[in-house]
Amino acid sequence: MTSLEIRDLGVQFSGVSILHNLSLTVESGQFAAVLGPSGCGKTTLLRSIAGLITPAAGTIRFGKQLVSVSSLVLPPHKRNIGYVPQEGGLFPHLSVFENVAFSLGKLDKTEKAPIVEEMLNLVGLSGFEHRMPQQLSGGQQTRVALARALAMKPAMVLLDEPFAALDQALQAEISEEVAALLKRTKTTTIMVTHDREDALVSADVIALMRKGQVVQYGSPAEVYRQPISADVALSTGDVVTLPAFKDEGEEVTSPLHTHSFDLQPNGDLLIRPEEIRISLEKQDQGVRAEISKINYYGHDALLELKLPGYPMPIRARVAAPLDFTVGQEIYAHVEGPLRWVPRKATHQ
Amino acid sequence: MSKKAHGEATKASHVPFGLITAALFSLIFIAIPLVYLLRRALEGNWRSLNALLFREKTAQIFTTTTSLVIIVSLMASVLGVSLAWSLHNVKIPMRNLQQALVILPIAIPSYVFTFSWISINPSISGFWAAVFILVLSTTPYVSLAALSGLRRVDWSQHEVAMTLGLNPFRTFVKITLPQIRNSVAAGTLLVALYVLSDFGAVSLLGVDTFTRSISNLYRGSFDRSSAAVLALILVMLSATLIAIESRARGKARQSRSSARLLKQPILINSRGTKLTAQILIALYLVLGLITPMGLLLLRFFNSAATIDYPSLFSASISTIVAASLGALISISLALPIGLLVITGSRLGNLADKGVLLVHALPGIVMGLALVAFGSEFPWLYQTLGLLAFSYALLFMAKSVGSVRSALTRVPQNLIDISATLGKSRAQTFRAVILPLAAPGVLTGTLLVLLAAMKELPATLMLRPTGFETLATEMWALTAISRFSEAAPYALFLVLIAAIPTFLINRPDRGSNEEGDIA
Repeated sequence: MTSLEIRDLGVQFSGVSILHNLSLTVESGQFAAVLGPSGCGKTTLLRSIAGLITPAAGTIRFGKQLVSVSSLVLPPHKRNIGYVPQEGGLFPHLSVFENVAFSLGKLDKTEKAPIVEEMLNLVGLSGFEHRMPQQLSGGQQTRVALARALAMKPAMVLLDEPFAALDQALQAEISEEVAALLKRTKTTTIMVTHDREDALVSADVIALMRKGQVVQYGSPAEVYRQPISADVALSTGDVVTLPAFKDEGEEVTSPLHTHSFDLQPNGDLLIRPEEIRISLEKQDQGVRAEISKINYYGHDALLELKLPGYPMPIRARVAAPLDFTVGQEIYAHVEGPLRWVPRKATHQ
Repeated sequence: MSKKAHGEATKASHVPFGLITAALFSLIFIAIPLVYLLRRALEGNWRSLNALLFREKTAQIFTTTTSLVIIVSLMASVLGVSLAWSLHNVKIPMRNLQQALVILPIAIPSYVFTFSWISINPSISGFWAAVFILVLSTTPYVSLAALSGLRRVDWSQHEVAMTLGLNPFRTFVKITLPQIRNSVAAGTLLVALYVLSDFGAVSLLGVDTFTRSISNLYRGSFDRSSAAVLALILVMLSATLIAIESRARGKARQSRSSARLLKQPILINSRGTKLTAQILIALYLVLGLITPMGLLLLRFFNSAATIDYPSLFSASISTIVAASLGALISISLALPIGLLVITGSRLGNLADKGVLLVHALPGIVMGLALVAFGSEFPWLYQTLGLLAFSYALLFMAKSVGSVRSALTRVPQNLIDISATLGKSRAQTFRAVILPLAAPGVLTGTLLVLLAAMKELPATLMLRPTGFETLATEMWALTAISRFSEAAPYALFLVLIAAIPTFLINRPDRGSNEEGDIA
């Protein structure tokens, strides 16, 4: 397994810049998730790593080997990369065995068989050798595609929204299995996804992408807890942003805070909904609020709270069981760090 | 965005030198008939050409040809759509079988149709007889296109329209028809091209269209450049039709939805509709399939004792050999062009246009052009090779079309994956692209084979002396009204042509694209 280092990557299509000055480092054996909305350039990044497109600028290194520098690129078939595209991309004219053995080249069938068997065993599909891709379910196809990628002992595995086509229940199960397998085999993995849960659950590190750049990089906990902006925070979970201001007594406070703190100029407070605590009776720091709406999710719920003197409703997450009603008066306070993000224009 | 990335990635890759060389070869071959046709036309005496162009007779030929094309196209499209609709939407017995039977007349050449009708009544002739016969023999082109269009219409739209208060007829007009319009247009243009280049039916029925006049001028005088001038007018007409057709076909492609399963119609079960639909289909089958085939069989068995079996056998072999050779040449010229076209290179686009141009040459014109070519290379003139070459060029558009659509249907992501799995481009071509495109390439070969077996005018002009195919034997005997002797050749031709027809439409391979069989 090898590490990946991308420096100042730039990709353009017909004069339109898709990636610019993108840098990213993934350690050997790490599982990295690239998370971002569709159209942000995730797939282009993955295809650049695979060598399927020629970047206009920047360098890509696998370990110490330079595989891409300006227009000099190592062709994909010399990169030793396991690429698993959306929906698996199995060759429809080849059996499961032949698909998995595809990269094994000139080996005898007797030499290929143990490798294929090992790989199918790894993905839990022993005995499926003679099936054709059309005879497999979506989840099985994804797993065969992974076995095919792993059979060549790749330097790293690239997953392009591998679970997007599966139904939701299966998605969680397969993505967990696949992540566990790739971590167990210490495979350097880059997974592109727009599903935040997928990324948070599976990855060692998450790279958040916006408009052709990696805007934040870190462990799932880091990118969740310390987002660099309200916009980026949204890609890992729900957020509440609140303005902080000085009141008449020159005390710095917010609609949800009763105590004073140091003001950060041009900053907003960013709060995750689960950091807002609800109590039925007034406590020291509690702010009186009215429940204006309840979004019930089963295991928990989001309450929309109307704060006195603040026009926007804010959302608080509460765990089940739930005994609130719309219109009820409660007290809310924040339990968590003071987290500043650059102020949005709308809060002025 | 990722789609765009695919396109760019393919374009960025450079085209192998060997491929370019092969495609250039194909282009040179394509140019031969065009160059020689032009040369022939231009070498004539200008005054006599002028007289030929502007005499009343030419105007008559023009009017006859265009009226025939327009009337047959309109009638075939109405009949074809009605048949397709009845087969697709009405609960008739043995629906699949009836669908297959309605398409079958495609395997019967127009001159065999004509032969079987005039052998019933030798006095049948003239414009309206030609309309009758050509409508019967071209309707399947429209039915096939309309059927494949209808299969792509999502019935749930129909149901929604009904809940919005439209009656079934208005639903058909407002919802279904607009969606199959492009397919039907493409099918109708195929009919128009067929009629424009038809030689057999109009010659037997004595209708003076361009093809018949060209043939008469060619045979009746030593002034072959006059024939070439008429041929050029014909080529211009057919090039116009092809330009319209390729545009219509492009639109039909765009409207194609993805592979998702579409809701198929709930079949109409009302007695009146069923009866009307079944009568219409039965009437078509009686006139278009049962009568001609029954007649051929009847004549065959009546004269079974007197049939010249050795000559029937040798004509069958000749037909198969010449057509197979033509199909092989055609696919080997088409493969590099198809490959080049999908790489998006400029040479590929040029070659594609060139193929369309030769596609505009009717059989009689191709014959004329290659006779001119052969007269400069006597060692080629009247050889099996030149005949096969004429088939290859005449029907190359079919093979290029199939090759191209087979290649473009190989998903780009499979090619990418193969590359990441360590295969070079040549290895990917062998291991992924070729196996996935093989059925389409085979279809392309079979289409040329079928068309070449049925070909008549170019075969008449270019065959080696003493080399008789089923088509030429049948033609010669019909021309002297020896219908009983001609029948076995016609029957064998239809039977042999039925083999590739069957292989192309093999039920287990799913439905074909509209116009594939043409």
